Amino acid sequence: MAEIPRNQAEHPMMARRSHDDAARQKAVRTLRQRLLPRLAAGSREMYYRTVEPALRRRQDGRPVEDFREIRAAMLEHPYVRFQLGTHRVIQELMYETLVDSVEPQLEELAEKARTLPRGLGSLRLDPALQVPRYVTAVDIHCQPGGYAHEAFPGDVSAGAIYDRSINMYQQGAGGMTDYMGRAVVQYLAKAWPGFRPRRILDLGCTIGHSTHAYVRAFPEAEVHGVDVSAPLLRYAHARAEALGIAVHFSQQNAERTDFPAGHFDLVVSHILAHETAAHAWPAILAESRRLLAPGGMTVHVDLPQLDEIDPYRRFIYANETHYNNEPFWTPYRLMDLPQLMESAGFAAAETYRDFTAVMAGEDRQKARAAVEQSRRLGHGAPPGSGLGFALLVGTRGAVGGGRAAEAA
Amino acid sequence: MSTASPPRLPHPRAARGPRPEFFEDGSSDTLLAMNVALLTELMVTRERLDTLERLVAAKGLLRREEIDAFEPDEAAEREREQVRDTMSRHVFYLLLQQAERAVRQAPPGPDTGDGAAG
Repeated sequence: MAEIPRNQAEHPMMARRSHDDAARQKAVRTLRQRLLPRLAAGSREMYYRTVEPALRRRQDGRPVEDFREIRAAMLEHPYVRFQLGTHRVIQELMYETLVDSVEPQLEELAEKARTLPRGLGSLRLDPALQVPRYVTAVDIHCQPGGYAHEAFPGDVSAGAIYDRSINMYQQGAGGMTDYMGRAVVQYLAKAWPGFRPRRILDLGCTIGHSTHAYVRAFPEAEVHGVDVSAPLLRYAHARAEALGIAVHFSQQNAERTDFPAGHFDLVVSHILAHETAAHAWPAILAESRRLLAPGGMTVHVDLPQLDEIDPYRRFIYANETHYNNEPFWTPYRLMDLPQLMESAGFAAAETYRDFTAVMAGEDRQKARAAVEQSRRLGHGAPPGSGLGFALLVGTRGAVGGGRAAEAA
Repeated sequence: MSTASPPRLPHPRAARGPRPEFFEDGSSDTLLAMNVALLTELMVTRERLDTLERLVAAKGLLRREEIDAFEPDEAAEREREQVRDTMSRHVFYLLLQQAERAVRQAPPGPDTGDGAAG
């Protein structure tokens, strides 16, 4: 069952919240992280007890594969409609409570971001940068105004809202909310124990919450983050400085940055892929390859592709596109990743597909069994159980120290 | 006054992009949203009360067990009943109004006296 949510660490750039605003945000967090899994478990039971057997009978006992067919059958049930409708409402309420609480402080937060003492990292904005249409066409995952909304010069609203939303949204995102970065760091330590990156780049870094994990893990490395949104980056820079973390942020499109070829040992992204577009993601992979120094590595964190999960979970996943303003979520998960990596310039021997839950398992057999069971049951949203995060990994040549035997 | 910058537009509340409907009748979507929002407000009130109880206990004015052990006297019980009744009438106001309208429109039956919606 869902764990008790932990609070995130407060820092000086964070929007203040009143007693009742905090209670309101925690109420939404409880609904999101504890009620929704309970409601979803009901739909899952319904599927395996009644819907799936009926579909199977209808097609002469053949296994049910098509998630669109599952979706059509599931929507016949009022319970499922209530479950999905409640899911959407809680997403909307998350932002409703956040905007309500953050909006009166916007000018003050912008001023704070501008005047906070700094000197560890840097911020380079490009007012001429065209924010790509896949970022602005709809407000991704329903954050009002989206990532790049800028109401006045110096605005940091998108960052201030996003920062508090992470802890409300994601199970396990307590403390510094750097859980995705830490997952990659743990993966690297386990699978590539000799790898010591000196320059690191985080693509689509938003407020830099994942980026910080690399500064903590590799204190001697120079760490950069790029994003297309100025409001996110202003906030990211002020947030990093306030926390005493050195990151160099610049406003750039990850499809083509201005860094020289071979500049980085490690290029990462965290749940960026599914928020891009069919033309952009191949370009970002090719740019990752271009930026790698010999012996370097790129790791892109997202959730599994549809053919890596069971049909029921495919239906659950696809709901993000139907109900949560994630137009590229499902199309991305239908893409052929080995093919994409090859087109981006990675040889087959330089391409790896890993899952954090398997990598993190102390007992690999037990972890594999858990993954198998999770595939069968098709429940829950990773991380937390099952496959965990899915990592798309590419190397440029041989990586120092090589790949751990147990990771093979 | 003349140099004051124009007030900035309010931050958007509605996410750009079509809003899916989950029920045949869109008003059920609205009702669901209102109910979940009310649940969060109830949680907020409950949390405020919890803060109050803890602060009062921390100041030594009472122990929290005293709240659980509290038995209202007859006067308090009457006031509470009044509050419960008022709240339930407010929450069920539409249903009660429907009854009132039905009574107003229908001629009084043989046994309903003056047709009050009681």
